[in-house]
Amino acid sequence: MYSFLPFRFCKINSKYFLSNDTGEYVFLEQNEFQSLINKKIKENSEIYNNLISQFFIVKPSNLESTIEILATKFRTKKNFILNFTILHMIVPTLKCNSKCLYCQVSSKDSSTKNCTMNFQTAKKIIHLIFQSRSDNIKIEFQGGEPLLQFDLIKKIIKYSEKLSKFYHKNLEFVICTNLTLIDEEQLKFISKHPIWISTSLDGPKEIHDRNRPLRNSISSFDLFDDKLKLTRSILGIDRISALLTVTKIGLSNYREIINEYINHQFHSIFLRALNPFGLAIKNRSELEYSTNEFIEYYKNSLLYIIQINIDGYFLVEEYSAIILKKILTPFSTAFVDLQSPAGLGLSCALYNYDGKIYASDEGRMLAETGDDTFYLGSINQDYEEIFSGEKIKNFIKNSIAETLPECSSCPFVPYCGADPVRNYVEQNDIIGNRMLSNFCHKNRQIIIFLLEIIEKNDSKIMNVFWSWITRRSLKQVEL
Amino acid sequence: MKTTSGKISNIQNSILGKIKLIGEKIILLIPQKNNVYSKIQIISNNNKITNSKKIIQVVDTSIFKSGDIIQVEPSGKITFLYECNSDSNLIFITNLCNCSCIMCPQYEQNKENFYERNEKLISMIDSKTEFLAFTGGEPTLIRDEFLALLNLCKSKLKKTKIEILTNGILLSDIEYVKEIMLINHPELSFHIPLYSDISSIHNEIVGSEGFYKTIKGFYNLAKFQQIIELRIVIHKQNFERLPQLAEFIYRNLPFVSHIALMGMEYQGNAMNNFDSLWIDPYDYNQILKETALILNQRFMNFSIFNHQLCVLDKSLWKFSRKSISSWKNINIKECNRCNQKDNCGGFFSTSKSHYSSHINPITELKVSK
Repeated sequence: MYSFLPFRFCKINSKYFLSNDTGEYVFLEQNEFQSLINKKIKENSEIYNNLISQFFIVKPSNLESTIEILATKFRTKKNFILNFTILHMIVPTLKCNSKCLYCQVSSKDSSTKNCTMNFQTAKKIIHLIFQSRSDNIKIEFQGGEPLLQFDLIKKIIKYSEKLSKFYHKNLEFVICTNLTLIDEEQLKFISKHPIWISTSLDGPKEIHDRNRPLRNSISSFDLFDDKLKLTRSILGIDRISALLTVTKIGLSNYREIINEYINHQFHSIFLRALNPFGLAIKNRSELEYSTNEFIEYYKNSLLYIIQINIDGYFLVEEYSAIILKKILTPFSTAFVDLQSPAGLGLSCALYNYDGKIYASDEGRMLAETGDDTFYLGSINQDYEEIFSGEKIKNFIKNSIAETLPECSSCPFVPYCGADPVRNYVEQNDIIGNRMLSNFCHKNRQIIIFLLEIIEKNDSKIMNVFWSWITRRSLKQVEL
Repeated sequence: MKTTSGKISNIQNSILGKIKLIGEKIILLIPQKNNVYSKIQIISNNNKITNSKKIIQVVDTSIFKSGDIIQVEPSGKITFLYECNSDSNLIFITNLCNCSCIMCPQYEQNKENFYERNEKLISMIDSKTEFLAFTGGEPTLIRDEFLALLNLCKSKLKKTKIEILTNGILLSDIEYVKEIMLINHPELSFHIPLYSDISSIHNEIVGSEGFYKTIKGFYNLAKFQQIIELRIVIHKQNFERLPQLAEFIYRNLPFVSHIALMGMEYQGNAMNNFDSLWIDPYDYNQILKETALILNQRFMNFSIFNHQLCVLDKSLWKFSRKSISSWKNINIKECNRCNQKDNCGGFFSTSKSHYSSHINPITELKVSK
């Protein structure tokens, strides 16, 4: 006779889907599921052995050893907690030469005063960052347009590199830029340091220009195109990646958008839904769509991208890759927007131009509306005061998805995460009601879609998935 | 281990010595106290012995190489404990074991003590030796001796990588692992078998309730970031769940640095249990392929050993390792016509009469490996 180990389950199509906290999963036919719960599975049958092997059931005599293994697996999955803050976002300025329709950070034009960071502030920030216990530190420059403050960025990078020799940390920098201002001199500096460039590409010229107009109204797409070539001529092809924001016009043009990524020799794409938070009301009707529309779009795009990979072009869809890693591997992922507990302060922190520190990017936007919910402290406070205060503890306590209402019984929870900021913005409650949550609806549908594909076990598609997870070409993944 | 026999004159006790070739002469150097060596000459059977000197006579003197270490028994049995031309030299720690695997290639378990012999052996081994494997029996079984020999290797053989062939059961004791780590040997690796993802199947194969202890052994070694090779010998008792075992390893032991998928050697216990072990490797080809795909997709480092290329699916050739051990060879006549002979995983010389019925020399165009 066997005992049950903790698992969650639901029905997907005609089958039962079971998963446990470590992400192990199994699909069972209805009758198999009935036998399982009635303890009628025959000992040493194949299905019995599979369930034992995947930690759904256990022989009582092996319970202790099995729990020990499960605990190790769970620790591995939650390894990101031990690292503490790994992503440090710095806002050198709010000024921007772009005026994107979906901009959430209320960027300012170049004449605006008092929205730029000084080096004194930056130094204090760097000292705080180096007190984080993680051996790996990623500093991401956001904006506004960080390149408008490139001298400051240079100073920050040099200063951090000096400190990292003392602290023995691995440093990595990301500059999030629209690329239109980049020049040779900047690129030469970038090429000599561990700096990655993250830019934005919304699709073909028509869509990109419409979503991302420049303030001085030269076509942002053409300039982007030129600057991308310049960047690659100095940095090579792989030090720059692009993010996609999907707007209403993109929904029906998914093929064209993806093709544009291939035309620009990008090997990764992130199908990112528009974040309705902070959108200018007047732009809403032009940009917005329903969650269901996005899900539909996501599925179509994903299938199209999979086929592109099968046809021989390596293109990772990053969001799927993150979820697939959660489903198919024993490892923890380092994606702060989909984890449990949430990344807020625990895995990421945002340092604003004025020295104020927030638990997330959205935190600073809320603050502009006078809401300091996600404000953690200022650079003049001690590290402990900022990062082990009641506020952070409260975020963590209330964002352990495994313990939240609805999430706690959801079989997809090991592959998902909590989003207290979204809950707060939409429902004025960081725990939130899942029935009203678009975040939940979207992730649930995407996870189910991926699981359905996995269940079919088409070796061509599985090879594509593994090539995304392990960042290797299809040829290396196949036999 | 290579053995031969000879005729021994005027020698009463078992002796351990190192071969030295001086011109045409073969000398066996036997260490005495204070770095002094006594010498015995090894000569061909054709020579006549005229006096009462200690001497060893053998049929073929060409098998001795400078640096080889042999044990000579009064019966005339000569065992090569170390061969300078081999990269698979073993230190046989004990023949006692806490498992009794159904396919164990060894016959006997007795309380013979190898410690003093091993002490001498390690002191005589060429310090340029690249690899030594600690084996048994279960080498970790006699804790003090195991630790002492490891310490000796660290001080005498600074450049030699030590491979420990263990079932991992005793390494479930973290204190034991700590003691090993405290020796701080720079080139240690552990080679541990796991035969199934299911404890009852694994335990049935190893004849002991070892499964969970072995897993804990893996975890304890991983805590110290040790190099671990996981070994799977494939036979009738475990081939069906190989893909599940691969997934189990990835999910639970992803830190292992190499997975060895090995064909059976039919010797010792394996011969006694032949019927319950034998499966023609050809019959598990598809399962092996499925297993290889799972491991390769997941970027797990693995190799296939002791499988003949003509029996393996071609997609697996790139994972097959050429057999270079002195106890493996290719000696069936079909193989003479094969153009892949030099790349083949080969046969165990001990198992030559038990091989796949699908051995079929590859004569078509050369396929690059």
